Amino acid sequence: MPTLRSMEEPLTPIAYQGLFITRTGDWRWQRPVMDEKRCRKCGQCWLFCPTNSRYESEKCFDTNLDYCKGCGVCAFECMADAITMVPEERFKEEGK
Amino acid sequence: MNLKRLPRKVGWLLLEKPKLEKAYKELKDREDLGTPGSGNCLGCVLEKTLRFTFQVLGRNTVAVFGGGCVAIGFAGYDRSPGMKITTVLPLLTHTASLSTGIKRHFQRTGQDVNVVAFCGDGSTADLSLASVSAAAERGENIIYICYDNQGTQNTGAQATTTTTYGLATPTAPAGARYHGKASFGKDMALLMALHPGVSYAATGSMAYPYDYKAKLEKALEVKDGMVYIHVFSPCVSGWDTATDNTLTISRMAVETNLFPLWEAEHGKFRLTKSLTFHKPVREYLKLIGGFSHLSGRQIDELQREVDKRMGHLKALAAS
Amino acid sequence: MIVVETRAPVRHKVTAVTGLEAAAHAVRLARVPMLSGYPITPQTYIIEYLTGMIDRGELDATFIPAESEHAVMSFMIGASLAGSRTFTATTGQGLAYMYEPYFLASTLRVPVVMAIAMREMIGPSSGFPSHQDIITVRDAGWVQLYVEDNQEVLDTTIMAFKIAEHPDVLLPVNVCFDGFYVSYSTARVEIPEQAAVDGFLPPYRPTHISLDPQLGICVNNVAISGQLVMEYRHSHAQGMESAKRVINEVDEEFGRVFGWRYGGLLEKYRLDDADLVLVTMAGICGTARAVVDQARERGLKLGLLKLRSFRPFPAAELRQALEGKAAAGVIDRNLSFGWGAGVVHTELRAALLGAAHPPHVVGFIAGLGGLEITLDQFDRAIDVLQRAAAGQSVPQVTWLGMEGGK
Repeated sequence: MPTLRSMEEPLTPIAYQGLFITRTGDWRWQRPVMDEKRCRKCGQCWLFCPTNSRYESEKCFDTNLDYCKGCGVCAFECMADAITMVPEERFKEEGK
Repeated sequence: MNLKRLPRKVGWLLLEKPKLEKAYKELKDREDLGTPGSGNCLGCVLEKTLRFTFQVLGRNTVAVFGGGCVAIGFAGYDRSPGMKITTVLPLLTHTASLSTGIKRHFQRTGQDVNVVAFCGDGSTADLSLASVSAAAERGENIIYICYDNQGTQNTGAQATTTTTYGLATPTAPAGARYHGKASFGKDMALLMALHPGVSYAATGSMAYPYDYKAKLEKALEVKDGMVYIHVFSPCVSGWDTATDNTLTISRMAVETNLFPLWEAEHGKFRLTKSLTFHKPVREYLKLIGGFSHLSGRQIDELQREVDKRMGHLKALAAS
Repeated sequence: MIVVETRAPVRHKVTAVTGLEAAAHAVRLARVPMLSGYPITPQTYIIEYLTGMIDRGELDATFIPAESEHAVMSFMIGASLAGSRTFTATTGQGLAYMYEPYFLASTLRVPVVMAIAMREMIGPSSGFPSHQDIITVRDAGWVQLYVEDNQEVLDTTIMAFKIAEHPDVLLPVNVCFDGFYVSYSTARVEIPEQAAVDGFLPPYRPTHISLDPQLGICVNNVAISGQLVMEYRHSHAQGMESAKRVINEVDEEFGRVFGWRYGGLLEKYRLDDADLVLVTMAGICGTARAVVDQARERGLKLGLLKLRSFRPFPAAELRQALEGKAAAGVIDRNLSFGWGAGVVHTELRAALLGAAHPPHVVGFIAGLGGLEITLDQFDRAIDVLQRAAAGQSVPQVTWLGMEGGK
């Protein structure tokens, strides 16, 4: 990758260092929990997840909890009713 | 089992599921070019639209973001960018013109790079209307995507000229003298489709990702004019909706004909989602807090406007 | 113009062209690939000169038709960021409409060159000569060079690309000349041969910015850190400071190649032994030269200081040039409302602070809205200057050419 002079001195304002990442998982107040038996692996939750934090796991789908904001779109849209939103407090109680 | 969803579920199994599965399989290995953690609100449809759009368009792209929520989420801050591809953050007023300058340089120097303007409705339909319209008239080979969240949402949800009639906003709140947005909002996509230099115009909804994907793929093929795609983008905080049903709202906007899905290739219109039965606009309005104040008279007026516009569109598609 | 002895003089083609056509020839010679413009009097014809050259195959360039000046500057920024050398021209209301991307261009450090056929700002609805349009945007971060006649338009436009693209400067440059008087009037212009300009001005190859998609950078990034903005502004100010040196260097090199130069930041005309000095910019200098010559014939030691670079403002050079003079009269074809004076006048006063023997400075407002600046008006100015030099009480600012002689 070429180096631009603006990376070494403040000429044209550019952002060039890595990626700006907000740990949006910290915002989450509820978490999607999968029912593996119900999942039809249609990919709808992957297509509709605003943060693209759904991914296909071995058995069904899972969530990248670093970035899942807990909006609940996946659970609301899942036609197989395979996803339930569970408040984060529940996981704290269980020490997870 | 949610029995209320049973009718939709039957239709979904028959019609939607195969298309969604296909779209998923085609896209699942595509790289998300946005930062994994963006500052957009929970359930933001713009965030979904942006990630999806660039997953389809791919890396050979320079993105020009027209301020607003897209900049908040994906321009990054200070030294760190918010996208894995090169982006330019222009002024709200000139995204189409700046993109033109970039694209003309690429064309002149023989570089086949997609220049994609990605802007909100406040920029597109209000501040930079002259710039967008002129680029469309000239047929600049840029892909212009407008995410329509019907307001200048990052300044506090003030109305724009695309805001739907009756929505309560800070510029016209719901109260004793104000009854929400007083005018109907312009049909920006149709306005753009009627420009001779627009080779491909379409509306898109993230509730129908396979439809939007097909439209983006057509956009990539266009080399002889401008592409304009108008994407419906419900806003959780500006419209006062729940965070989990924003895509259902997007779908309902299509099912009530409030936001019909169509495309126009060189002025030839086609409905890409034609409905045998459409729902009354009331069904859409009741999902959104910003419309909860509407009187029966106002709902009737909006319904008449929606029907009138749908009539125009059908006439265009039939011609 | 200062004639320079050159070893291998460049062959020039002698023509008679308007100021705008001279600028267009400079654009052709600079091989500018990306052009745009929107018509506004008195800048309009430059568009047809440029498209005509493209049409005849004399210039290999893309001319982007625009819907407004706002779009024009936006094209220029986009194309320049992507790597093109760019040129456009505007004036008056067009410049005002362009203000938003105008400021963006300098702060993004894109070396756009823009000719300004200076005119009055509305209202009243006057589009006639004045420097009010460009003076109003003096703090938007552009280098602003003021030129006197058609030949200087051509030469300075070629120099402007070299100054703008200099690695120590990287700032957009305005070449400002009087609307109508210069932009629409035909005068003798010597057009240099292409090979000489090619040798003087290499192609634009930016190393500070690129829009390669794979770079993954965000241009014009969101800066929430004030520290970052301070750094950019400081660097911009340094670019302006370097421009002072570069303007002089480029002018000297131009002289060596083409056989004449203009003095860089400022030109001193019969100044060395002068007691009284006229300080002014752009087209007024033409008349002022004649006035100086006439005064010299009468035995009056009058000189002219022509300010060529208004941004950057050559404060030290002005201070040095005016050291020990009895009186300096600044003729401003512009007005700073609230100061009751012209802008060059107020800035010159600031520049002279700390001088050992500064001259007595008086100001004149003249020629607004295209009013002719006549020899009678100059006589009046010289009279005020003489009285000031003699220690008599004179008004700080005199409005020339107004009925009743206010």
